Amino acid sequence: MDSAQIYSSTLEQLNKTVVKLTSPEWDAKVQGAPPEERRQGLAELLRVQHARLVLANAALQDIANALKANEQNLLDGQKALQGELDRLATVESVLKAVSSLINVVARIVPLV
Amino acid sequence: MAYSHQIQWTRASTSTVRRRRSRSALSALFLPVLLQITSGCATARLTQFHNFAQAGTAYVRASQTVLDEAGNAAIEADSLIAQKGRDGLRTADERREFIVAEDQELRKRLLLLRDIGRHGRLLQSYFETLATLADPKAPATLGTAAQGVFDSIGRLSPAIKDASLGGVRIQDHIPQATNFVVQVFKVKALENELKVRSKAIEREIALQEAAFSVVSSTLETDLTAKLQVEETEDVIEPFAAAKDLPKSWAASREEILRARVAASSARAAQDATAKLRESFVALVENRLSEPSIAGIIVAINSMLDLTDEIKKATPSK
Repeated sequence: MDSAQIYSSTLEQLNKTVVKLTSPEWDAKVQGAPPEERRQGLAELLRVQHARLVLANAALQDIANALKANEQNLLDGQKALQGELDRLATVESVLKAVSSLINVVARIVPLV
Repeated sequence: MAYSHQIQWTRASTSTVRRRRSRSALSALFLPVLLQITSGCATARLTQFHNFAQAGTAYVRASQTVLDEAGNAAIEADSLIAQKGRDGLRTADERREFIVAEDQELRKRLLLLRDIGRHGRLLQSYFETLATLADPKAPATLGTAAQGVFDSIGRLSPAIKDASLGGVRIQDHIPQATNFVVQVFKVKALENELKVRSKAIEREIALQEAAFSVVSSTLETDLTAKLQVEETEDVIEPFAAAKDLPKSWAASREEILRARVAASSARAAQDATAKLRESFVALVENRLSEPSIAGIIVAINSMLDLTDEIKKATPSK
């Protein structure tokens, strides 16, 4: 996969994730979770939104090498996250998958 | 032989008032425009170029509303998400750092949207110059004016081409060049202008098309996120709470649900740009017809319908 494809698929995954994490169905799940898990859910929503904005604004030529270097982690992370978003089994498992992908994205673009 | 047709296009006039002050602003965007298509020699040529310039102007105005909506949706989605997720951040420093970084990224996006709008407005100036050049009595200096406008367009293009939005590079979405031959026109200044620059202008319209393809995709995600948060907060939570529902609850619900459907048809702007490009080629080949102009009008109206739906869905608070 070339860096442009890795870039597009990563951002597409972040877009899908922000849509899921703002959905009423996810909201209902998070509201029913313990307080600390609920806080983590909110924090991950902010991280995903921030990551999608930063990555969408990044120039491909500036991050092409980093994308290529992290290709496998990004693709694995996307696959795992999409699986969790489709299942929405538990808040914990979704947040773990979100966090895992965002941590890889943070190696490519600086995130707060 | 000469005959004429008329297409009436009526959208009432208004300025673009911010949505919360007036919800009806967008549906009343344009002054009544009367397009006349006339065939036959010099009048026909003048009318064709004039009609195309008018269609270009209408396109630029409508596309500006889509760009405004894309900017609004990006900011509103981000603000709603920030408000919703704020409790997830533990300290004032974390919250400050987050919002400062978001503001910075949103400014970058707004700059790109502004450049796309400026690029469109410069194209509109070029079309108006062409319409004037089609007149045999046009001053000789107009060729220089056309060159000036074209140079300005060219200076903006690289930044737009290299930009990315919502995961897609604009450059990757530029449609393939269309093969066409500039027809012989009686007005040599016009013919020379078209021979020198029409292929490059076709590429610039294609760049607009690519930009709107990318803008539409981002607009769709931002709108969906924004509307989902609004649905949760304004429809689901008040309904679930053991309190009286606000009087506006049913209306808000309807507007949000309708806008969710509109969000999935955010591609209207791209379609209008594609039609503008096809019509430009037809114009240069001296075969611009009434259906071509009518096709642009239909596509532009779809853009306006989309933004109307989106505006309606923003609850008055």
